[in-house]
Amino acid sequence: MNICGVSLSGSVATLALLEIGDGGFRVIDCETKRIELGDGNKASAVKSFRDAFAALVRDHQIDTIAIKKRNTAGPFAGGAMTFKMEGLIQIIDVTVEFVAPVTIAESVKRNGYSRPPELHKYQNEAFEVAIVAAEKLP
Amino acid sequence: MTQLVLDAVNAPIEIRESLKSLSDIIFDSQSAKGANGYLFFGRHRILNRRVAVKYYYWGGDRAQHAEPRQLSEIDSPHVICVEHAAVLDSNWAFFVTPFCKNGDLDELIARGPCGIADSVRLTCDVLDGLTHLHSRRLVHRDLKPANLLLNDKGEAQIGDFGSVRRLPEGNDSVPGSGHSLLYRPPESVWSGTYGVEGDVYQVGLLLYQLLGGLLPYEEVAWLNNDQRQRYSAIVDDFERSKFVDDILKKKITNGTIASLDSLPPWVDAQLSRTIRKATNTDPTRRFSSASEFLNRLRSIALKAPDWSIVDGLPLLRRRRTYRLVSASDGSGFFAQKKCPLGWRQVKSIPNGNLADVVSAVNALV
Repeated sequence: MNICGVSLSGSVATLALLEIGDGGFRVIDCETKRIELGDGNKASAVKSFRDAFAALVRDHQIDTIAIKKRNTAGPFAGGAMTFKMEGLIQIIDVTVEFVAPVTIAESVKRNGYSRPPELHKYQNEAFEVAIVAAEKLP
Repeated sequence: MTQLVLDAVNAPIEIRESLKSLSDIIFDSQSAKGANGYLFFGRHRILNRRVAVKYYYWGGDRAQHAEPRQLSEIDSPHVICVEHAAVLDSNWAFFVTPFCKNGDLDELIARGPCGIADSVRLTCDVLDGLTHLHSRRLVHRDLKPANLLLNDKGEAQIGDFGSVRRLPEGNDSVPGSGHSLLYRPPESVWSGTYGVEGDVYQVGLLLYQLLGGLLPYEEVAWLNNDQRQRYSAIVDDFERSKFVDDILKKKITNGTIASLDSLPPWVDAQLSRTIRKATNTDPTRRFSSASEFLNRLRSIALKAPDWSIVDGLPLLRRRRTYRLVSASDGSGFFAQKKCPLGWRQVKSIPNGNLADVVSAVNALV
């Protein structure tokens, strides 16, 4: 099973692709580490973000996309563009799961997950959401 | 439109008989372009719309032949829809697809270089279509501009499946196609193999051509003076063709088929590097998938200045619109900016060669 962890910030989706096997995982070699929305007011940029994400999902045979949840209101609410990106990812023909930051923090602490060397530091959040979401999968 | 006399068309008898059996289609023309098969156009009586019927040589190898059923299941705006398909005999098979009145990318390229955004968009369309093929373990093997159509929305569509092959399980390559030497990737020339990286290579050449890179179709254009003299001395057509093919193969394998110097100066250095990577002679150094190529292009296009060609002049639209005009006194080019009352020369940019003026305008915006 292939899973794509996504962390959304500003107008960028940062990715970490993992192949989950019996009792372990492997980082999928993928040159695309980030997909940028660009100008969210331009229909062409919005559509091309969706197409680029969908192409990645097809090419790497992703079964599930896991997104780190963000607050929709309050002082720590996510940015408007992150919710736009989230909606675009949700309409791709693939399972999309959301994982709460508290769940991620608890699971990482409990299981001692650490970022594999194949991933960059900026992909850590995406990695954590992917690995924690994988725990919940049947 | 006049109905085609099917008994008189230029095609083998089995194809003529097959055309007659497609009684729901009134054929009105045959394409002269179908170098790798036979292409006919007509109107479907029942659907009341124009269709294209492509006959292609499939070689009788069912193990590697792309199943028409698999292709018909592809639901992508960037892969032309297969409405009907059949195998005639051990030589010929055919597809019925919608007719694209906007023509193909070869016709578009013949009209001159496309702008940066259009070139990237059309290339991304093809790459998006390719991800649908690759995810089914299908490789196209003949992605040249003539096989890529423009639909009614101006989007590119992969439009010819005559060379599509399925990658066997546990094997990432199939034999290379014998078609279109110009677009054949280096590994197909030296080892006769073709994989996903081969399709990436061909799309790299497509991007290069869309942006205005030189890739002449006339064989003599590839020859230097000495080679032209030797070519002229050859009497036999086959030997002549072989002579040019050998020169082309050498250029393909040493990576000089695409001359990045021939790209217009407004093509961003990052785009040139992307073409170089996609067309690398070493398949392992290319983009490993169509989606990675697509994402790289997309991220460049978000930031690169969007030069286009309007009324034959290079034009850049940002907060202001600039265009480059050739000076009548022979002092090169100068830049103009659009003002409410028309175009005015940008005095801070001196006349100069095209590359210098492009750089100066890029620095302004």
